[in-house]
Amino acid sequence: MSFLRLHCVTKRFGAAVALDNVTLQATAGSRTAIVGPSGSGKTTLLRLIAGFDVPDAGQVVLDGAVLADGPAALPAYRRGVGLVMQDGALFPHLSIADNIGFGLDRAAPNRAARIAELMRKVELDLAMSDRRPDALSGGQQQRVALARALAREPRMMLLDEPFSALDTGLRASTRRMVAALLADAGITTILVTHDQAEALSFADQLVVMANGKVCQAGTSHELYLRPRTPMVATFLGDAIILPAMLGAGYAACGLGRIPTEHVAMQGPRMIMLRPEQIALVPCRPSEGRLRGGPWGEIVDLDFGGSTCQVSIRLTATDRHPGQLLALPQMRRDLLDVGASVRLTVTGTAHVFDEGSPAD
Amino acid sequence: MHSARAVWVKIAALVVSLATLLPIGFIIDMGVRTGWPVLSTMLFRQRVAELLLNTVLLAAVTVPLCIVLAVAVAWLTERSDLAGARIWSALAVAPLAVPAFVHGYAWATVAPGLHGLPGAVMVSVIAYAAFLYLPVAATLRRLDPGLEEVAASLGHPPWRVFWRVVLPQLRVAICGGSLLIGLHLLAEYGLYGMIRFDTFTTAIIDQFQSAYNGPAANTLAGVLVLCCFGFLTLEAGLRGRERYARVGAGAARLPVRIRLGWLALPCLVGLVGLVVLTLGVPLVTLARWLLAGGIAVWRVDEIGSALAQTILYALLGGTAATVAAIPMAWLSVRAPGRLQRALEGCNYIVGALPGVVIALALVTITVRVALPLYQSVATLVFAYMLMFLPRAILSLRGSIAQAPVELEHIAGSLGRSPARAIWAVTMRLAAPGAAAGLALVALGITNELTATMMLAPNGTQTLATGFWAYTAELDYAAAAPYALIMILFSLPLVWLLHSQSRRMAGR
Repeated sequence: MSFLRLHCVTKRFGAAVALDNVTLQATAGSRTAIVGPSGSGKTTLLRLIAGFDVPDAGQVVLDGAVLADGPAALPAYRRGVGLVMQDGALFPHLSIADNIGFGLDRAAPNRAARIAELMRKVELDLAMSDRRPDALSGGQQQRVALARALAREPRMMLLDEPFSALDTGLRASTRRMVAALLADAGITTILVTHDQAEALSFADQLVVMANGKVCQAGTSHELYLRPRTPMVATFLGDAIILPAMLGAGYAACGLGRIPTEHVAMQGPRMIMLRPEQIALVPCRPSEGRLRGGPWGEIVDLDFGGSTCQVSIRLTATDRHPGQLLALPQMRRDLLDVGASVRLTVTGTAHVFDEGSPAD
Repeated sequence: MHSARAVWVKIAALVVSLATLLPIGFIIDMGVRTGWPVLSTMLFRQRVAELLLNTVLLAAVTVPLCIVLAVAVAWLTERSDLAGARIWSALAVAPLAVPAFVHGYAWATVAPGLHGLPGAVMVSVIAYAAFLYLPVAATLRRLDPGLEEVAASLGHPPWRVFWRVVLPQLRVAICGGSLLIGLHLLAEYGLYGMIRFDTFTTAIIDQFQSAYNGPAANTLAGVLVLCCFGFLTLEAGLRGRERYARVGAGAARLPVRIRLGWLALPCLVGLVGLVVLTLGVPLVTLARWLLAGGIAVWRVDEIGSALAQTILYALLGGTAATVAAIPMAWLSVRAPGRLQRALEGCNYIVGALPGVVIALALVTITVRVALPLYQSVATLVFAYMLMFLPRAILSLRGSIAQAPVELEHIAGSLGRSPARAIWAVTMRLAAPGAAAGLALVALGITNELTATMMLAPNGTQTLATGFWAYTAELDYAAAAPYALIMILFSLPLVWLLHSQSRRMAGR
């Protein structure tokens, strides 16, 4: 049973279509991440759920109640939807405690205790209560924003790139804390981000958007391993996308004959492999030619710390021209520009739903 | 090298600041010389109590009315979907182009019965509310809409969001604008002369005209200065210490304009009514007097000479203030420190003093110490410099801040001496700011009445004093051309203020 349901939602800003017939669901207590390049409409989607914008057409339904049906919409302040923004958006004229208590009744008898409890929950030092937002670090500001949103026990929580302004190390720890906190509270959450690693680790359900449309929605595993389009595949990580000829459960491509799960498929299609499926073994040029498997020459090495981008020019055959592959590799001790390598593929090739090599 | 250069600039800034302290020194000196027994008999009089009550009542009623009006109009022009918001915004600022005493003149024509506190409050609100509109509208435009959205997501309906999130963020703008209005209420002479409402300034000038620099006028000036300090302290206390900048990074979105719906019509009617009062009344009155006077009121020789003298004084005063502002402005950008802050504080306080106090001080000092300077061009220009120095410093500081210090260093490495490096690089780059500052000062001088009246050499007639002389003779038609020329001169200034406040908000 879906808790949040968006049905055929369309939103235009002037001539530009921000959301084009978007349909989306989220189950109660789930964590959904919406990813996409900037301008894909993900923030607009969030603003429609929060009630800051109204759709031109389509429905937003939360827990059985219609929040918006076309331009007729419930105003934001009556939705009970919590929100954490990219920059925290703390009220600069209020102390930390007053920021957190902003949504609580000012006359509530247990207000101070509730604020203290929320501060503990987001691991903020109680000594900070009387400070002003500008005296806090970015990570602390985001914790205050989260506590402030949690104070009203919202039915749903919206996170608009809340970690993107934080340092790399802080980002991961804050993300884990937020995920755990929201899971404990059982609050249905939507995270908008353009960071695919963040989305993959945070969410039960992943939604990839582009040009105002939902490209694909599903579990993180499903989207990573079985993306419907090359765009989804490359957005969620490094991907090797090759033209191939399908037949009898195999895909014939520049990397040889690779088994696929799509036994019934025939003819020319685009396939995808993840870099971790390909192993490199250094070899002598003569050896490569002798063994017959896919092999090539390293044309470039790009050092990037723990991983290293290796560019390999595959040796051309009659059927396949000498393609250029870029593979991230953890080890680079055996590799050098000009060296020959054999490539071995494990697992199966994923075949895209759409797009043939002719496209 | 750098320190040697800074020393000379610091000395120059110190000299300028000491000069600006003359009027305050005069008040203190006067108090000490007079002695407490005499002073107390002159202070604790019914007259002083009356004036104090008048002043406090005027400020206490006018300023809150201005705040309500300015916030309402600013909200309509910046945050509602009102038709023609840009035009309304320009019309809301335009009353500043009409000198306050011309507002008084218009209302004295339209409603001769208008006088006392109600009349003074009404015309003051009309003449000065724009001083609050400008900063409030600029701040409203700059506010992060994210804060309002978060407040809404926390369950607060729009009117409560306005009270608890928007209004507190306007505090600095409201305090600053209110202070400016308060100081104008204290300093203005012409408006209250027209409306027949007694304030300290009108009482001082009455005293001065009957007995020159008698101790009575000096005592009143002392109380007036205390009132100024009172306003400055009050504002500093109310403004608070919070920063109202955006806490996070990232570009702010444009605020969403709220749909007025059926309220649009009453709002439009209200704005039309406001513009009729603030612009319609003075302009229509002026047109009526010009029509009634016909060609006869355009006494070309007289008006031409007043215009020429006004321009001369405006340029002299503008240049003096700008040159005097250079060391201060340079210091505050390049070598900020405790001394610079103290000096800047002096300039700020003197800028808040009414023209009548500065004029009275200079009259007394020249008569006692340097009689040849009494009612000389030099003294009047010096008075203008004191009054308008803060304007010049402000514009100059902004543009010096935009000239990178590295360029000065490079000029030094290319063989320029420090002073020549500043002159050839920084001052050249700051020239537009200096020119803008000079223009601001010059336009202020064009409309200056009080100090000009008290200090101008015999036979000198500027536009403002010419206008005032005719209205004193109740020849309102003959005064009209002077008022028209002053308004035309002020239009560029007001346009500059308006566009600056929009640029400040980044649009």
